[in-house]
Amino acid sequence: MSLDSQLDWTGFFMSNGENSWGVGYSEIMFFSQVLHSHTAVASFTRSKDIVFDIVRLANTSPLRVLLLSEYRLGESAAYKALQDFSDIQVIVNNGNWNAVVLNKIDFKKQTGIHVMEVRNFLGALNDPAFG
Amino acid sequence: MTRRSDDTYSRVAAKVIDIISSLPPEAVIGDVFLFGSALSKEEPADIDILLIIDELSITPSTAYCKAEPMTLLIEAATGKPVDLTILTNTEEANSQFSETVNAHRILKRLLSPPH
Repeated sequence: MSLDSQLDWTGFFMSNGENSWGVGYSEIMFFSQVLHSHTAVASFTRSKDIVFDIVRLANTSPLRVLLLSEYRLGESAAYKALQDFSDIQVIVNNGNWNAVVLNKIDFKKQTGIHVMEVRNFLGALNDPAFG
Repeated sequence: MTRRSDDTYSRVAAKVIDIISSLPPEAVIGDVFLFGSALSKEEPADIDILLIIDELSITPSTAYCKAEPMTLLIEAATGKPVDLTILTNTEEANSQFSETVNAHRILKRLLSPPH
């Protein structure tokens, strides 16, 4: 069993693994801490360094989320992410200066995958219908 | 956006320009831009490359795969990882990313202008 599969919900017992998407450890820790303090999140685990399985409070479905940190997240990068991580439901792009530039509505229709910035994702977590 | 002469680029950037300029047309799937520290620093942590594709010619879902040989060649020649951003010309037109980061176009491949 890898360290990643033993992570607990606090987000602090996490190995400093590697990922091929250039997402830094500080960004992973930031996202973990934000999830830890989010009122809609019951627990979460991390795998493959940047995949988060998030269990929300009652009456909401669990989410598998991929954390990226792309300067500009376009359609090409989103499709590559789906090729690398086929079982995700949401792609979240972290970073104050970063942005999602693809057509989110069209991409959701085509793939069933949500693509959004962190701040929008944190709001969406409160919506029981999101996922 | 103004292209500088090669002698004002860093050696790493000049090497990237040489590599891309020498590639056959089919190996470069869009307009290629350099940005970030590789433009001026001799020892950048990585090489930031922006590739703008014409979505009418290149399917976005295949773009990274098609760009991989170019990326691997640059990484092998420079010893630096490439941080590749691929945008469609529509995404670039809407976001103006190349202007935001003062990217320098080193190869023009698009058949049609951004719309």
